[in-house]
Amino acid sequence: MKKYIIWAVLFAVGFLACYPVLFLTAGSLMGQTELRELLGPVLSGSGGYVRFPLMSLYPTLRNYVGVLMDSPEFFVMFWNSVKTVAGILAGQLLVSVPAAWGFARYDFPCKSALFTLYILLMMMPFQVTMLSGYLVLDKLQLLDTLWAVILPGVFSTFPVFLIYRFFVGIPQAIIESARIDGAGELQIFMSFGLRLGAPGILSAMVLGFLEYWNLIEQPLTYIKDKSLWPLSLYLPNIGLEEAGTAFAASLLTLVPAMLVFLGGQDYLEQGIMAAAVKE
Amino acid sequence: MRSVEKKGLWKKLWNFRIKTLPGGRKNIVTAACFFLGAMLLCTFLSRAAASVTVPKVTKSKPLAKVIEHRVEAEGKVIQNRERAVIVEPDLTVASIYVSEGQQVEAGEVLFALDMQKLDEAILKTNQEIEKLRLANADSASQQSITDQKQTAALARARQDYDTATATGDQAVDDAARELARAQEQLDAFYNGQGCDSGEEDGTDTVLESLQSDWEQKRTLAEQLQEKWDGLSSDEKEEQPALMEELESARIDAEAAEQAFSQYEQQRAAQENVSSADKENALVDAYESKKKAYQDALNARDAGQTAAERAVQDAQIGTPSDSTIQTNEMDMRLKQLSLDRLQALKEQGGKVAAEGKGVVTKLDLQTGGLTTRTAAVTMADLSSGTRFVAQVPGEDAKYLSTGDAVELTPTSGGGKVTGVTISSVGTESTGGVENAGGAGGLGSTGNTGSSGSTGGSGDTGSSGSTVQDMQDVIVLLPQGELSVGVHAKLTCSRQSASYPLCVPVQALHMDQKQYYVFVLQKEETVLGTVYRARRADVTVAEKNTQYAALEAGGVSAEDAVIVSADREVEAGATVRLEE
Repeated sequence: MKKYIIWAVLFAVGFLACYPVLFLTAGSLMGQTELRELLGPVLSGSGGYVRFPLMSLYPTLRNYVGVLMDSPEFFVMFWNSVKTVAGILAGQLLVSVPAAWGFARYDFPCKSALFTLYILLMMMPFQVTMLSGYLVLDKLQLLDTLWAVILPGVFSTFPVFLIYRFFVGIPQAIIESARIDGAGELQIFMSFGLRLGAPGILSAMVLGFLEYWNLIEQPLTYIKDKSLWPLSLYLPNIGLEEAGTAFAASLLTLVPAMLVFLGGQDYLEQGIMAAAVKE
Repeated sequence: MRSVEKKGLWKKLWNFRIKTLPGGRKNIVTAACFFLGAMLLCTFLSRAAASVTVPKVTKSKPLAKVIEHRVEAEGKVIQNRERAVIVEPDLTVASIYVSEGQQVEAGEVLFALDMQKLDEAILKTNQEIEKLRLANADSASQQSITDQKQTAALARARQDYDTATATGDQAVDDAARELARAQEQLDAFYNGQGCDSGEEDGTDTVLESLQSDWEQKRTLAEQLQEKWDGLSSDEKEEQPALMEELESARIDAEAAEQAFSQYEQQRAAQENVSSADKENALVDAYESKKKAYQDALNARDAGQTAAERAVQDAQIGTPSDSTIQTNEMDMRLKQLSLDRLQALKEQGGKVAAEGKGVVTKLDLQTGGLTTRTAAVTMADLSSGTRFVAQVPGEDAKYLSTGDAVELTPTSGGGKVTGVTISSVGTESTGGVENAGGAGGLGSTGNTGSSGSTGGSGDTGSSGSTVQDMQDVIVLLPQGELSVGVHAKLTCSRQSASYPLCVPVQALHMDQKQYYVFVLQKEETVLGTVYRARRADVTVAEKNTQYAALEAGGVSAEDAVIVSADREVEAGATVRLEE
């Protein structure tokens, strides 16, 4: 009995959490007329309240066709997003992983101070560092390019922290024995660190993907050229005329994130677990 | 299913992992690759679709140009002067000696009229004149009679008025007198009734006599009484006659008193009765006399008004009658006509040409009647030739007097250059002259037309409607092109230099407003794209190739869309033709 109750409560909460996606799906299959009628009270001031059934009365794929076939802008922005995220993740692999290894396995002067600084930076929201970032990028003449978004992401401190936790969990004994066996530091890092810390690295990647796929403020602030904007900035003014297209575009934006999540689900769980384990 | 198996299923669902799928993580990677591949494909498709729907355009900047207008028209060479021969209408034509196109010399007979009919016409005109004269005489006499009648009526009316006034006054006076008398009687009656029995009229003499009689008797009675009382008793016994006298005197006095009072009573009663009647009678008499007076007044006034009106009516004059003048006018006209007919008769009914020329139109039939219009129209050969063409009003505004033109005969032959336009539209530089014909008749035909044999309908407008055709006349020098030759006129005219000229294809029209599309660069997600912006313009001048625009709509740096492979809408994305 208790199980069923738990099950029911979980199902209800789960449904509530999923509802926005269901809403998007339903809306993306609705025709223009239907949307105008349903969303009219909110978007065009007609009387009554908004109704939104989860099943369209006259389903149509017109919105998807409109997004996929008739909007080259969507794809320009899609590939911009792909480039940005790929760039950031690659950069993070190159930069954050060694940094985390360094923090985890080595001692050096001011290490705790530096680490505290890292944590501090991690906690600061973008708006705080926005202006200083803008000035630096301006000096480096990277404004209005994709690098203005990629480079700050590459040097983000969050993955360092995440991966550090994993590297800390690697038993010292293995490293010692590897050292005794004559392995170099680089070799230790490559053979042991990367392999044993793979879950952490991958979870950081997944989280990073989910974060950078949905970037809005950085592109808006640092990039003026509209042809470099990422997909998260695609949604045009959601007027009544483009509601269907907006729903379809949102859903398509969701797909890569969903795929990545499904693939990296395991690692995420492990990462959360690892963060919880205090050693 | 058994519950254990069911549990197993639930467990599987609960523990759902991608890993448990056959292939596991590979599936996700494959799915992701497919997704990226699909996105790539759709990228291409969407760009291909966009390239099909986006119009390809050609552009050009506005240039400085001169607008040239070239007008061409077909026309004909005609003579400069025409003569019209006009005769009196409604005369029978006996014979015609010429035909259209025939050249005649001065004095050559053109046609002859029937003499008999001519004489009849003369007679008829004479008779008409006579009739008018008689009618005039009648009118005059009628007028004088009317005048006399009117005078008499007026005099009579005046007399009637005087009579009415006199009689009326008389009646009023009589009535007034009667009224006054009645008034007097009434007043007298009222005055008489008001006082006591003191001042009675002579009618009260009876009363007076009775009264005096009674007083006398009373006095006597009193005297006797005194006397009796004065006597002693012895004396009283001695004089019983005195006692008797006294008694009788007393009785008389009483009787007289009685009679008096009786009569007085009677009289009062009578007076009461008769005074009421009398009063009524007098009042009635007064009222009726008053009414009679009023009636007399009214009658007099009415009579006077009527008579006055009669006088006024008699004074109204007679309406004007201008028959005499009208008739005299008609008579004058008929006299003129008569003179003309007489002149024709003297010439034996023959009408001859005044000068050398070619008969262009013959509006007669042997045995038919002449009309009011020209009987014979002749081209006057001695006055030169001109070229006339008709040009639509739209084009005509590009031609003006003095422009150099070129004439090319359609049947071959040399071009005529060096001639200029003499007139455009309905201004004429030498109208059609109307000679009166051999009879010296006054012309009633049309004068001053612009010499077009076609004859356009409008004579005053300056070609504001499209259907208007205007005449263009070029005077030809002697020796060039003879009459009847068809030729083409070419005239080109250049306007001033306009700084902003665009090809005519770039112009579009929307409800009387011209506009062009200007290319505008815009930064979008796809990069720099061109959009078509609509710019309203005013056209200063245009020909078939270029349109000159006035400043304000576009500037010299704007790139104007000249042509597109599909329809362009304002604000639409376009791309340039490669």
